[in-house]
Amino acid sequence: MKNRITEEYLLELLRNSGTKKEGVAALIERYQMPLYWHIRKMVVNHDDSKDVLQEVFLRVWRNIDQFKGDSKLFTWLYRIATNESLRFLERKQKRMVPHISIQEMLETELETSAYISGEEIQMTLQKAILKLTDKQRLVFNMHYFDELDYIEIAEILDTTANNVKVLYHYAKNSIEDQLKKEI
Amino acid sequence: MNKEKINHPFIAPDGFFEEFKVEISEKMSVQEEKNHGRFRKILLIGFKYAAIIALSFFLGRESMRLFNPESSTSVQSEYFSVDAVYSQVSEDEISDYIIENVSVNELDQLNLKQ
Repeated sequence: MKNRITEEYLLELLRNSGTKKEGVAALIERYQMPLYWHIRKMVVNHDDSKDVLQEVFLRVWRNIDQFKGDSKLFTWLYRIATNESLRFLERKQKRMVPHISIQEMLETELETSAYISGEEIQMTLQKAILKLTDKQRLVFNMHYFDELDYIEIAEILDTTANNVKVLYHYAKNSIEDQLKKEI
Repeated sequence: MNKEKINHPFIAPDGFFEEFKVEISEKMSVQEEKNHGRFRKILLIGFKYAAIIALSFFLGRESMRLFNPESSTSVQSEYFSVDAVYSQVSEDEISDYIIENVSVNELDQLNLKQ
């Protein structure tokens, strides 16, 4: 397998039934890390992130023939991961005790879950991020941590770049206010 | 926020990504086998129904043939032709021309001549 294969070559492998297995292996190898971190920042807990990531790859594997190539493969994968994360949080909220919000639940997970280790400022930033709306959190995570530009984020969230800019601006201001209060 | 970038505090367990690759590939194989099994099942059910329909059709046709042998169309039309001839000629005329083993066609022709 080529060390750094192009998206086009990867798609060719995935669409051909004879090479689909090889294509899936290459796809997982290439995208499991960025997708895992994207999901993890949304659902916080490691085990939950693993479940969501599995669902993402199974969905991609089942629906790869429906990918028309209108957008980049990377954008399509990020979109599936985003939707799966939001769907997971929605399901989790339905299972929860009514008077606890999903934000409170995620904050508790942040303080108690395994595989979280950071300086106080990192934890404070995460707590501030958890206070944002889902869309603001997504935009902030993708722009600040994953360093995606506004146009890429807009494609993933199926919105306009201007809308993404506005969402990021609100998210940044809200986080700065929170950090000022905490520090 | 632009001054110094703060990283996220999340970490993944050691060897997680290597294990994940194997685990997800196994899951995909299992699901593929399941899908093949399901397809085979559907195909088998389809064949069963097709066989039942074909067998019922065959049995129906055979039973019609076995239990109603006299009603074949050629026999029926011969009876009707004979009736038609007898109804149009008188008994005397018939006795004049009747010949043993005369065919229906010949009777028809006689009738036409009259």
